[in-house]
Amino acid sequence: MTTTRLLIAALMILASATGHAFDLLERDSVLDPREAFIPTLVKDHGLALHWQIAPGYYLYRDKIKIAQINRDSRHPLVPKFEPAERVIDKEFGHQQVYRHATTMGLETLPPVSGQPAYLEITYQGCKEDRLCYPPTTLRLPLPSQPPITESQ
Amino acid sequence: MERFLKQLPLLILLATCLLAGIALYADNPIDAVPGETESESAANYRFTLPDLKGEIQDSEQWQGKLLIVNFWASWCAPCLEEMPRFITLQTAYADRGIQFVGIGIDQPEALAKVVDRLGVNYPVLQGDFDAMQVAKQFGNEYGVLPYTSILDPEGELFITIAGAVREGEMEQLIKKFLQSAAAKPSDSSSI
Repeated sequence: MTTTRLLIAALMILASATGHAFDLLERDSVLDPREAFIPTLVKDHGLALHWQIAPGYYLYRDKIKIAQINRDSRHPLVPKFEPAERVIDKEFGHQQVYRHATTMGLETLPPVSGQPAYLEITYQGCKEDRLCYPPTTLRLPLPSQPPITESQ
Repeated sequence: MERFLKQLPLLILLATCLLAGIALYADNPIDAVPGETESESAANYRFTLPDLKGEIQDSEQWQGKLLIVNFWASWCAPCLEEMPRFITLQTAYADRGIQFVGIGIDQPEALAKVVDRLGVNYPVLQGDFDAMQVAKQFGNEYGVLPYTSILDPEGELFITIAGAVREGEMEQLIKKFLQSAAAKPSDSSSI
């Protein structure tokens, strides 16, 4: 018996003794939603939001809500979506989802002079046939643009 | 001979693991969460939430049963897919001390519609942030749904499952638990 085989045998004995109920349900780990769906701002003929979506996960098109936060004001933005994959959900009928990656164009407002501006992004997605995340909201700072004054 | 001596430490390791494994399994056929005492563990998993009529329910009322706590929402497709399996199991194992409880992280009206449509035959509690806190208490770090935790009759955590339970899996767990409980003389009264 080789050394490797001996070690594997030892580990299997320990695992079988301590695993119990846990070994009945083989599950891969659950990703943090911020790792499953990663939005990044990119400049591509204007500003765009690129999503990197982990393998096996999908993002609901219609659950994506984006708003620009300038100082204390909040302005909903209308993203220019790429065509999404149409799926028929057993429970909810026709849905549009993105897998792997997608990029959506954004028309942002000019920032107020001297004030940081953010995008507030709300999204929701699932892992295929397994689990869903509640709506998640995060903020991304907008890159600085030529500022305008408040009076403009 | 030289080869045997070379492998002797590994053979000793193998024998130690074998003995440790036998001792562990014989002493503790079902694991609770490691590193917690019994009373601490049971207290950690107690919860109170309103039911769909708004009446506060305390999880202590189900102590002494194998309590299967299922977190779900009306917008969660995998949740709605697995719930009919739980309904069937609740009927099949009710007289064996098995109790399902749903915790809906959603609006009561949305939950009530699903409960009626599916014919849910076990208690359903409801909440928003407070229910998410209970889910977190059970280890649901990212608030994923569905999320199912099983507490043993002493209120200790037996297992948690992030994501939908597949056909046959929950029944397998219940059977394993019942077999284990039957093997422990002190637990024979509760299950």
